[in-house]
Amino acid sequence: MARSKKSSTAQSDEPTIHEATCVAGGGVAKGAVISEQDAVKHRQNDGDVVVCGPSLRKNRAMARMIEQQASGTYEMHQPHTETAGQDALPHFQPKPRNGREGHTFYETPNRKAK
Amino acid sequence: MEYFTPELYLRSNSLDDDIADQAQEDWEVALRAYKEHIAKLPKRLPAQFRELALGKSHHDYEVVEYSQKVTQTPTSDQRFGVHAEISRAVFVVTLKKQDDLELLIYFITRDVEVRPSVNEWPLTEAGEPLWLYDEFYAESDRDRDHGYTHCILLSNGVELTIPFCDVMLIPVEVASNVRS
Repeated sequence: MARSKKSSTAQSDEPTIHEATCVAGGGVAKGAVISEQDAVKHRQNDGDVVVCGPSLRKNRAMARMIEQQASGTYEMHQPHTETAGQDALPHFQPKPRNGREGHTFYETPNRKAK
Repeated sequence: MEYFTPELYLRSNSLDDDIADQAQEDWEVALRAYKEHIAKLPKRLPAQFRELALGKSHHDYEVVEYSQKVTQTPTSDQRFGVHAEISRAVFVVTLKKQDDLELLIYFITRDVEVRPSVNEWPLTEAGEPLWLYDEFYAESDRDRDHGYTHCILLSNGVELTIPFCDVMLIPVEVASNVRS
């Protein structure tokens, strides 16, 4: 039983990947759950994605992996809530932009997608 | 930069989870502190200062150019037959995002400080740097007796410290043949 419980807890830490939409006020709305492979394609088409879950490290690692596969080189930006809104999320984006759009957002313990 | 420092930004980009986790916490602390700071700005501010400080975000804009110039404005007093030119020092920042081009024109009160990136800035990139984060200060802040100050951190690690008394934000219409 203990083993089963541990397995269940570990699973709940695994992040989910969603299509995302930037909403008024700087927040991020999560849409349909997608696979990592589809997230990479979505990013290559300049769409936004968001990685959700309770583990900051796992969310960040997954978001970085998606952006790396989609864009090659990337950088991480923290939210600036004075202008990006209270619900803004940290994200990875291409570096350099070179006309590319979109972000790979991820949740933190304090900041969640809607 | 006093809140969103280059050092904190670099730690946020660390591949070391311990460092990045701590940076995430420190960033939240910086956000709260800056929010408290900005709430203390004087009620009476130049209109576009307030718009820049509290509304309009230039995060992710390409910083195409910045330079300090002196403008000459003709003036005359017909009563005395006096003709003269008034010189004003300005600092112009040219910004671009997709098809949007904007000029920020600061009427500066001292020379602008352009601080190069810290050594071995690992995030330097080809092309125009991006506008990352910015901070505003007013004369009521300690050790600032020259009006207002706008500090901007660019993605190549350069910090601009702009002391000014007024600022104008001018959207520029880009002709379609130039755009393409």
